Amino acid sequence: MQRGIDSFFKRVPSKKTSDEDATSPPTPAPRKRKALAISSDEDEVPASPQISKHGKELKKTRRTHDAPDNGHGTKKPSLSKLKEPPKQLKKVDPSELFGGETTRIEAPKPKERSLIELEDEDIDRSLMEVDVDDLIPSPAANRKRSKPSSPTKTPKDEAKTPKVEAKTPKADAKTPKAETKTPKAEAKTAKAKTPKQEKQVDLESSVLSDEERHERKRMAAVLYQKYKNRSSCLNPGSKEIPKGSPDCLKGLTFLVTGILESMERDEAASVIKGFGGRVMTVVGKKLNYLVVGEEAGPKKLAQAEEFHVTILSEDGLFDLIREKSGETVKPKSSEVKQEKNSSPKKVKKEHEEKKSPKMKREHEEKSSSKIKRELEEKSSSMKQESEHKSSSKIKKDPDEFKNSNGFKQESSNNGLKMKTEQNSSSQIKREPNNNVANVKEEDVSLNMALVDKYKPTSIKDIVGQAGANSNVTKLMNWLSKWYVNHDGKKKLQRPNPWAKNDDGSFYKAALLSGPPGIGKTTTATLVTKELGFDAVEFNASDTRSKRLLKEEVSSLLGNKSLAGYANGKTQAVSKKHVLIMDEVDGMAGNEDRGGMQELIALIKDSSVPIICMCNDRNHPKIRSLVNYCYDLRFQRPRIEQIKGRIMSICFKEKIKMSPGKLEEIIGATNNDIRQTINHIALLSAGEQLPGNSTAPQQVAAKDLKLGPWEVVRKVFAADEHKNMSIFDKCDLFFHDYSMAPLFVQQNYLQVTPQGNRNEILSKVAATADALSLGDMVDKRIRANSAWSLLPTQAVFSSLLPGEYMCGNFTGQINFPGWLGKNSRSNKRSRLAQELHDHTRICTSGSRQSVRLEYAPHLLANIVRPLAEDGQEGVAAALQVMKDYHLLREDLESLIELSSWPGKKSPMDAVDGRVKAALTRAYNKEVMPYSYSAQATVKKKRAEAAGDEEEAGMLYGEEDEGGQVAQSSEDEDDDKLELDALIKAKKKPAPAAKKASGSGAAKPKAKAKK
Amino acid sequence: MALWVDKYRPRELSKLDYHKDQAENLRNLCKQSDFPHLMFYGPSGAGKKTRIMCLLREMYGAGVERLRNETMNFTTPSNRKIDIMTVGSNYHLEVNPSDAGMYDRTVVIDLIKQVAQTHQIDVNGQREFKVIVISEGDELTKDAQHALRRTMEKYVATCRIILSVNSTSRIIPAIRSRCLGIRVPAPSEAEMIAVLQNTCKREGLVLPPELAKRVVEKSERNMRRALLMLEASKVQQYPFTAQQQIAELDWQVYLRETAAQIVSEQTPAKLEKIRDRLYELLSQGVPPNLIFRGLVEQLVNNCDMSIKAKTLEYATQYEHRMQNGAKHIFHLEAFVAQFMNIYKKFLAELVMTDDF
Repeated sequence: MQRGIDSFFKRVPSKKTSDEDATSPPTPAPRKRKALAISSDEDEVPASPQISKHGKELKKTRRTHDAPDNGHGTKKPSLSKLKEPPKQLKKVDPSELFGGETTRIEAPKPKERSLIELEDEDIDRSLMEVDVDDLIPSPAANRKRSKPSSPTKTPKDEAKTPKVEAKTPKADAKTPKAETKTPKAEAKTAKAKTPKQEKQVDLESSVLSDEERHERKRMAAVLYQKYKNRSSCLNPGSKEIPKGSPDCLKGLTFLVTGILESMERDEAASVIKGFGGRVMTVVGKKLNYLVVGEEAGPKKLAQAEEFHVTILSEDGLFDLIREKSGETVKPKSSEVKQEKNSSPKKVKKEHEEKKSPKMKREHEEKSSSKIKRELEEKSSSMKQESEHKSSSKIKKDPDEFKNSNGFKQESSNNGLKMKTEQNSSSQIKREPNNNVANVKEEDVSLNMALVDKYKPTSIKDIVGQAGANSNVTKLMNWLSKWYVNHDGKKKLQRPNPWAKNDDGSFYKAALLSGPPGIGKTTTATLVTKELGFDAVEFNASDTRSKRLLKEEVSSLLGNKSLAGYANGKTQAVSKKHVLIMDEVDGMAGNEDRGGMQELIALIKDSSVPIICMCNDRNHPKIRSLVNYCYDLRFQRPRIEQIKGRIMSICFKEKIKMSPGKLEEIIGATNNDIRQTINHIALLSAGEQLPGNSTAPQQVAAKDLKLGPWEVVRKVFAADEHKNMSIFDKCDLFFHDYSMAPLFVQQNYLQVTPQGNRNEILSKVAATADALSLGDMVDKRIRANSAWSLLPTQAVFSSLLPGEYMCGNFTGQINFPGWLGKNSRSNKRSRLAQELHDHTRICTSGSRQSVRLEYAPHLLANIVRPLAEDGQEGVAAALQVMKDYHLLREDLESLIELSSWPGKKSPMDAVDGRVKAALTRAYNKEVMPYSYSAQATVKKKRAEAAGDEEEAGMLYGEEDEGGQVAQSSEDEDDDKLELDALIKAKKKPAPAAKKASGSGAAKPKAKAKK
Repeated sequence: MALWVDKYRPRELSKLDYHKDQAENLRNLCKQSDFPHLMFYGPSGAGKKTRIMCLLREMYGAGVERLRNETMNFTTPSNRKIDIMTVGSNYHLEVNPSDAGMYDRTVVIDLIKQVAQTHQIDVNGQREFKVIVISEGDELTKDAQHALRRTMEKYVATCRIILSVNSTSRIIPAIRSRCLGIRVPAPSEAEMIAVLQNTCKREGLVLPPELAKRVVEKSERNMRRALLMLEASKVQQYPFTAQQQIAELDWQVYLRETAAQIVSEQTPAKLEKIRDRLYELLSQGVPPNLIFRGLVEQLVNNCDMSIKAKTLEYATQYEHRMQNGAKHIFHLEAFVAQFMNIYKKFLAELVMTDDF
């Protein structure tokens, strides 16, 4: 081990010595001291390589800049001694590697170090990243930097770093793909060279040329970059881990390098540990086996050869386990196994994970060679960086810590050790891509429902959502632009509701609506995931009352998500949330009272996007919500689209099913993907039962609701009757028992019954008779809630007509006219009632007689003067209206009530100008009918603000009139009449009096009052 | 310009044109201090309402003619808001509970009780009680009638109820026994002619007796209708001639045409057209039993004796069913279909017998 690291580092110090001699103050210490320093590092490697590196760096700084300050230097060792946590040195025994005492003495730690250990670590890491990023694009720049720079230059550099820092992790986390592209090309070219160079280093520890040194650094950086970006295991879970006895590997040491086929390296490590083996991080003499995967570290291989270590493949490891476990037997189930089976599979991005958990793993002393390598690489690339920094490092450190992006994160990372450990073990269940998914799934999800097993894992997998105009695309666009659109700077226009290509930028929420089982929820979750948003989901199983939404959700949305680093996925704390309100139409009842209003309020001033989902967007409960949401309607996918997916599932599950049958099933489920898959699962289960394979597959029972059109067709169609029992025919009625009789009644005359043509009329009569009986039953059912009579009605209203008129439809099936006619007659009777109410004072008839007898005459009396005398007739017409207390609107209802098909409206004979004159005259002479005084004023106010003045004037007049009436009792008749007219609000209308002809009664009555 | 029927309506019991004995009885009734609940019953256009108003005037003086509309609000037990328009004076209140449809019980309970519970404001008035006039009383549901019967007894000190109904058959016996029934039969033809002549005299017109007779016949002894017809005829043609056409109501014409179409063709397609016409009649508010009646009258006129009985039988059967059913059109249509069927058969037989 010691040697390995030495050999790797060797070249740098060796060079540096020469450098130091030549020019720069910040060059590293001479070789010997360096070696010591490294050994002290080594000491800490298992615990935390980062720290060690940092220690080294600081050390260097001390040596170079603070060299004169000897007191400082001497102090440190003792401090470090005190602070050295013995815990961290668990597995790798320092004495095994080198003299423990020397190490401790030699390891100079700054005072702050242990206190702000984590910060150091963090900054190291970020520095390293900067290094790497900078290194790759321009080796030339590297060279420059590597050259000793003056202390004056440093601050500048430093100022620059945080920025870059801030950038890198983010980019890293977000698009690992994009990043990998550039370095890969270089990495490839470098790859070929690497082994050679490594070897070179191994063999000759002599002085290297400047160029070579830089070249090597570059190579290391490339390697590291490659390492960072390399893929995870190829086929996770593809191989079965043998169930060896727990201690079968006891006393053996392993080192894992490269990418194994079926396991992550940590997994492998934990497997080995689970069987009692030890996992080492560096190749050494005590190493028994080197487990090699793809892209194995070339250096390790070389060393392994040197030490004659047995090299195993992954399979070899398993074989070894099997072989050894045959010897030692102890009944104890393997932890790993259990974990694997119980923990849920997780889909994660590999790169993001690798970075942060890495450190924790080291803390856990699950050290693998990866760390080792990383350490090597880092240290090499770090070295030059440290040279730059060293000058100002100590002074500026605290500031830098604060500046650094990952500051907090790092610290909490440590705190989250436990979690990550679990996490790393659950990585086994990771599903990197779809190609391998199935192989793996079979393993993991044997007991899973097909629906979950074949759940779409990427948005491309969602059935029927591939197009550019698909809802998925729309939702993605909307969501990705959300923060841009709603940063408070833009003023967005509410889009026209009929605009076709609205991108929904106005809306703060989206509403996905559509029938169940077509992937709304899947879409929402996948899109969210794809865009790297954190989703907070509330569905019908959560209480979503006003209070809860207000207090919990709104505060929740202000928070930052820990999910990112809890999983070790991202570096930055995610602030991008999405609130997913699933099943919003299920917000009902006492529990969720006020929830919808609160949701709308939430949407109005939300700082995060909200995705709502519902089945029926026309539901009254949803209707208010719709106005605030970007409306995305999901249609049922077509049969072919579903079929394709189902076929592939069938193939994977080895279910044999003919395409025809599939189509039938899909049709039966009404294009519900989920249901279809459930049916498939059911059928396949039946197949797997012994002896059942020959049984004819019963197609899933189509218990579908038929539309009334379909029902009525079946009721009468002769060919449908052939294979229907009486119960089947009755069942037709129950598809919609309130509509069925209406449909039958509307359409039975369109049927041409089979048989003798002369019999048609008697069949029609019999049908009508049955329908009439059915209506009686219906009345009885509705009036007395006698629902048990429904089958009786089914017979009369559906079965019998079907039997009588059994034949073919010759006409088209119409929607029942009864509904429309009924509502029209209701409307007319309402008008008639109004008319009756208005004329009631001066007529004696009942409503019906007013309608049938008065109305035509009244209308004639009003219209006649208009038609005959034109403008001159207006006064006469108006007088009739006044006498009968009619409003202008009543004239319209009169016209409607006395209109008959084929009869011209009497108003047609009246000139338009005359009509206008009538309206004007009417408006001028306000009709102070007792019933309408308030109503008209109200109406007018509502009509226009301008009219209000007029209304106000009226009031004034009224008041005036009232006063006059009070003061002057003995005025002439005209005046009295005026009074009465105006006071009609409180007193009877004049028309009645006038009509009565008993003018004498008036003063009398007044006096009484 | 008010229509004659309103213009020349008698306002006092003494001025009534017919049923004068009854008027005398009513006047005597008013003279007593006590006064029972009344139920005026008789066909439409016989003068029930006129008599009620005359009676009220007799009791309270001209004050009852100072009418005013009032809209009253109710809340049903199911929290539905209902507006009911009432007409009333200081002494009485006229209400038509059937305006509220199925909620008439609420109206009876709330409104009538509320009015009945308060005493007469005018202490100097002749009577200590107020009168509630319930028009279209036979439209009251059974529930409402039951709610009414207790009210009638309980508040008898403060209010009297006058029911105006067309037929007592739809009034529950409990109500009938609590009321003094006053039958207002339709006026005889002679009486009607006298009224028409009288009216024309007051208008300064000359009415030929033949025309008056024809109008009365057309009006089916409905006084209101007769007067309206007369006025319409006057508009059409004046001076009157004995043979001039009398304006008919649109719905009557339409109904007659419908019947004629039934007789003209008997096919399912025609039946569908008839259905549309029936819908139209119904939506115009023509009561379905009137439609039945109009159809039967016309059809019976147009068919052979042998199927007349059958037609009537069907008509009664389906009208009965209609009363028990909910959707009138079903039964009207069934009747038409049956008639078409028997009529077609009859015609076919006729052709066959002719052939042989």
